Amino acid sequence: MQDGRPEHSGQLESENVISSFYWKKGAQSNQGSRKEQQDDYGMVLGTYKGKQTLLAVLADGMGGMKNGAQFSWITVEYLMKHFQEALDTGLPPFSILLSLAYGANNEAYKIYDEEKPGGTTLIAGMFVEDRFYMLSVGDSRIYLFRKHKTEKKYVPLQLNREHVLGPSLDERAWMGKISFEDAKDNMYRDSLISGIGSEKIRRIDLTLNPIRLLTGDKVVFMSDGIYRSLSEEEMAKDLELTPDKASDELVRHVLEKKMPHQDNMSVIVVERISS
Amino acid sequence: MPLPETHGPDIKSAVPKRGGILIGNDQDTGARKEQQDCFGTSNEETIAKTGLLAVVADGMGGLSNGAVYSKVAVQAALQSFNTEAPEKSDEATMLRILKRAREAVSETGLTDGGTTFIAVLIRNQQLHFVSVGDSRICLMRNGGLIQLNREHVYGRELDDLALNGVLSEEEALTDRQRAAITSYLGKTDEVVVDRNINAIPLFSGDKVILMSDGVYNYLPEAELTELLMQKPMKAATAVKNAILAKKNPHQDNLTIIVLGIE
Repeated sequence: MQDGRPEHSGQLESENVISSFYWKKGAQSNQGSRKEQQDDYGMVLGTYKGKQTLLAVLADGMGGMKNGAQFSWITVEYLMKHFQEALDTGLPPFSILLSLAYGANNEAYKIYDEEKPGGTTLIAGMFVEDRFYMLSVGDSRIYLFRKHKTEKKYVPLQLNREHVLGPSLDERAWMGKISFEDAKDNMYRDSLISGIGSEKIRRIDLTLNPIRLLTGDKVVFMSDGIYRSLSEEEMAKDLELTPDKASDELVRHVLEKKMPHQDNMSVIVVERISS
Repeated sequence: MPLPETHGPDIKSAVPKRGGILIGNDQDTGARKEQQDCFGTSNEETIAKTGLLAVVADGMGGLSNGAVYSKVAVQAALQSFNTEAPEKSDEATMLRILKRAREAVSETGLTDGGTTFIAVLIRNQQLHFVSVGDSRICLMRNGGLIQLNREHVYGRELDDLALNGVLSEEEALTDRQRAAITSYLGKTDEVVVDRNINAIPLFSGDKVILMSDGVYNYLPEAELTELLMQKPMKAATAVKNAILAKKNPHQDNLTIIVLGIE
């Protein structure tokens, strides 16, 4: 255990033979060129209304201080620890994910310090049979890669909305509230406008209706350290491999690019393997 | 002022291939007295250069105002796309189109209702959309249907209230207002917009579907998916027929556009 980070990082708790009937999983992370690893992630199995369910969570902590790392692992740990308890309420999946996000936020807020503000993104997915539900706060990404019948290769579809300032500046410019130059030149365009760890979660992106996964579909969770270095085409090529090999390959591919100031990166790949 | 005809191309005639996008559409009033949905697709001549715009609007309001809201929104969107030069990015073009639609609704001077608004731009096999309200945009890929937009409905606010301890979860989940629309054009305060920022790449065989809630609320998803496997023109009509065959006494106006990428 390093920096007080719990053992869950990247490990699948209660690995269970039954899960291999439904999903193949893989995950990998790397610190990049940064002083610290502030990403965290995890996966855990549960039982929901008698059915196997898988939770995947990934959090990209921020704040130049140690707080970044703490925010992300407090958040991941909360979701993994309270998953079964939330499932036992029998509430609909979107309610479950929402209540877990709120709970994690309350926990993370305890270490919030106005002098050294910080927080974390959160992307979480719940898999039950062929259905997938997602929740996202911040600028990490969730993709659905599907093996296209005609193209004969995996093709991407980003599922979540990123909570960054740029798009809302553009909307305000089109409403005449600010000038187009001000919107374009604003140096905070890429800054987050919502995160976990503040008093309230400002925005949450959530699917109310499930996404139906087809056999072979790969749902990919990633922090921005991956997508700022690889194009979607490059990701799709790496994702031809099985989830464990693909996640290793994605990280290797990013490192090979030797981008200056390469950010922390982490990725989880979940492939649906049976119908 | 007479309203322009904006129901889109003649749905009875076969729609020819338009620069790599097959277009199908159909509509019905259902069991309601009036058609308050409106839809349209852009000028076929310019598809190769400017791409294709498809729009659906589901109007609501007293008397016949619902139809007015939806028609002016669709007409303004198509007019802007057909007559104004494209912006530097497709994303910006969509924001401009949304602005024109909002201005047109505001210029009606009506205040008792509004309209949902979904618009899709496909250019060079890349998709951009904007959405306000509870109409739906879906992508069909490999025979699987994926909803692209987020609906603006009261249920989400109720869930937040429950998590903040204002209501119980049961109260939030069973509230009869869960499906009420929380954002639409014509709203006097803030209009929340859903849209994609990063282009969605499309591939040959993909289909993009726009529909008002008169479609998805009245047909089970499995049935809808099955019917959409056909070519766009056949698919749109098959969906309409399947819905009408159910003879639901409350059948809402229904509108569907199916775009097939070649």
